[in-house]
Amino acid sequence: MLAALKRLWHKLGSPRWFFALTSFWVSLLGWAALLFLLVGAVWGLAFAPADYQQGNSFRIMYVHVPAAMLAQSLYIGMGVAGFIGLVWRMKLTDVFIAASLPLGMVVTALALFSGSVWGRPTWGSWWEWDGRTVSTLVLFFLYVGIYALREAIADMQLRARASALLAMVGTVNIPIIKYSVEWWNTLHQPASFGLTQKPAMPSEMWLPLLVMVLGFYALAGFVVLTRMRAEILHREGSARWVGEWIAGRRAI
Amino acid sequence: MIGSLLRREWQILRRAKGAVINPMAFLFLSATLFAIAAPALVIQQTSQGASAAGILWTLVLLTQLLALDGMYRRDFDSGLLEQLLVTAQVPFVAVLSRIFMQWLSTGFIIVLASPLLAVLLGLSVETLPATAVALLLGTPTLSLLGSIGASVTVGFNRGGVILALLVLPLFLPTLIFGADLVEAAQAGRDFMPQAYVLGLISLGALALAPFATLAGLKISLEMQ
Amino acid sequence: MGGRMDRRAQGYLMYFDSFADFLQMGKHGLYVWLAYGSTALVLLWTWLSARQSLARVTRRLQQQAQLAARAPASAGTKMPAGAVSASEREQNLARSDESET
Repeated sequence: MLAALKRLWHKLGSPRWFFALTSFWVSLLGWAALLFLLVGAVWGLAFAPADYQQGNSFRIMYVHVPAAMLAQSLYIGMGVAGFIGLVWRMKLTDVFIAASLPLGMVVTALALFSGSVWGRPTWGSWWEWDGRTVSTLVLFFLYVGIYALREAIADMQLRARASALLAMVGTVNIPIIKYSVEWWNTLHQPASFGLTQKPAMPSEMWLPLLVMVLGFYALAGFVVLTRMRAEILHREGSARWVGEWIAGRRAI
Repeated sequence: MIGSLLRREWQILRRAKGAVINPMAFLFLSATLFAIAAPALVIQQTSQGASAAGILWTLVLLTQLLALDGMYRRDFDSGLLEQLLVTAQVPFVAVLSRIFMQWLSTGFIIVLASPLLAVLLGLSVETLPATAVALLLGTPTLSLLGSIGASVTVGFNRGGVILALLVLPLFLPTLIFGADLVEAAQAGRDFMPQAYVLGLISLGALALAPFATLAGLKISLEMQ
Repeated sequence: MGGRMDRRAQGYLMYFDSFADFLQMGKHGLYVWLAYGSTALVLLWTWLSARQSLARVTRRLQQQAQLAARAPASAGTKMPAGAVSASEREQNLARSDESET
C-alpha cells in the first residue's frame, strides 16, 4: 500500500506521466466549464427570482462569489504546491505555480471589480472598505508580490524556490490577515445591510450559485492544466517523448 | 555560541551607526511631513486619537521597511553572509541573532523614542505606556516577517520595491491590532485583547521566520 | 395567474415578462450587465490565452522538428530565426536529462 502510494507520488512528479494523464482531463474540464457556466449564467440571470431587498442587482452574486472563492483557492493551491515543491523538490509544482499565478491575479481583479459594481447599487458607492473587500485586495497584493518576484529572478530553479517560499509564507498568513481584517471591520464599518449577515438563501437562489462555482472551478482546472501542459512542453522541449508527441500531431 | 554570535552582531551594529540613526531620522521627518501636510489629522484636537494611532503605526511600518532593505545587504555583498551560514554550527541561531539585532536597532529604538513620537503626533500623555507596549509587542513581527522578504530580495539590484510588495501585506495584522491598541488606550478602553493578539502574532512569526529566512538566504546566495 | 407567479418565484419559469425587462433588470441593468460582461470577457480571455500558449509551444516544436528532419546534420548547431536561443536550449537539455533518470 505504502509502496504503491510512493510510486504514485513519484509518477506524479514526472512531467511525462502528468502530460499523458491530463490530455483526457483537460478536455473533460473544458466541456464541463462551458456547460456549467452557460447553464449557471442563464439560470442566474433569467430564472432565479430577484432578491426582495436588493432586487435584480443580487444576480451579480453569481459571478462575484465564485470569482472570490476561486481567487483564494488558487493562492492556497500555490502555497500548498510551494510547500510540496520545497520539501520534495518536485518540478511540477513550479509548473503549477507558473500556470495558476496569472489566472489567480486576473480572477482576483475580477472579484474586486464585480464586487465594486455590486456595491454601487447595494451600498451606494463604488468602493467600500468592507472586510471582505480589504481581504481580497490584500490577496491581490500577495499575488502581485509573487509575480514581481518571479519577474525579477532569471534563473529558473531559483525562481521556482523563491516563489514557492513566498507563496507558502503568504498562505500561512492568509487566515491571520482575514481574522485581523474582520476585527478591523467590525470596528470601522458603518452598519451596512444585507451582505455581511446573509440570510439563509432559498434553494432556487443558491442552486445557480452552486452551478456557477462548479463552472468557475472547472474552467480554472482547464486553464491551469492547459497552461501547465504548455509549460511542460516548453521546458521539456528536447525530450524524446515530446518529439514523439509532436510527431503524432497534425500541423497547426 | 549564541553569546559570541550576538557579540559579533553587536559589533557590526556599533560600526554601522547609520543603520540606527537614519531610520529614526526618517521616522521623525515623515511625522513632520504628516503634521504639515495634514494638520487636521495631527495638530487639531478633533478625533485625533484614532488618526494619530494609525499614522504612528503606518510610519513605523514604513521606517521598518526602509531599514529592512539593508538588513543582509552589506554582509551579502562582502561574502560574510555565506561564511557565516557555512561556519555557524546552527545557521538557524545565526539568522535569529541577526533578526534580534535588527529589531534592537530599529524596533527597540522606536519603542524608546515612542513617547516623543506619540506626543508629536498628538496622542495624550496617558496613552504613552500603551503605545510603548503596542510597539514592543508589534515591532518584533515586523523584523521577523520582514527578514523573510529581505532574505529573498537581497540579491536583487533594486530589491526595495519588491521587498515592499512582499512584506507590507504581511504587516497588515500588526498594523491593525497595533493601531487599535493605541486607539483603545486613547479612548480609555481595555487594550489587553489587542496586546495578546500582537504577542501571539509575534510568536507565530518567530516560529516561521528563521526557517523561511534561512531558505531565502540560501536562494539568494545561489543567485550570486 | 397566482400559480404562475408561484412557479416563477421558485425559479421554474423565466423571471422576466419580456426581453426588454430582462435587459433592464429593474433599475440595475447597468450593474448586472457590467458585472456579467466583464466576467464573460475575462473568462473568455483566460480560456483563449491558455489555448494559445499551448498552441504556440506546439507550433514552435513542430517547426523545430521539421527543420531537424530537413537538415539532420546541422540540426544541433544551427538555430532557425525565431526559435529558442542556444542557452535556453541547453537549459532544456539539462533539465530533460535530469528527468530521464
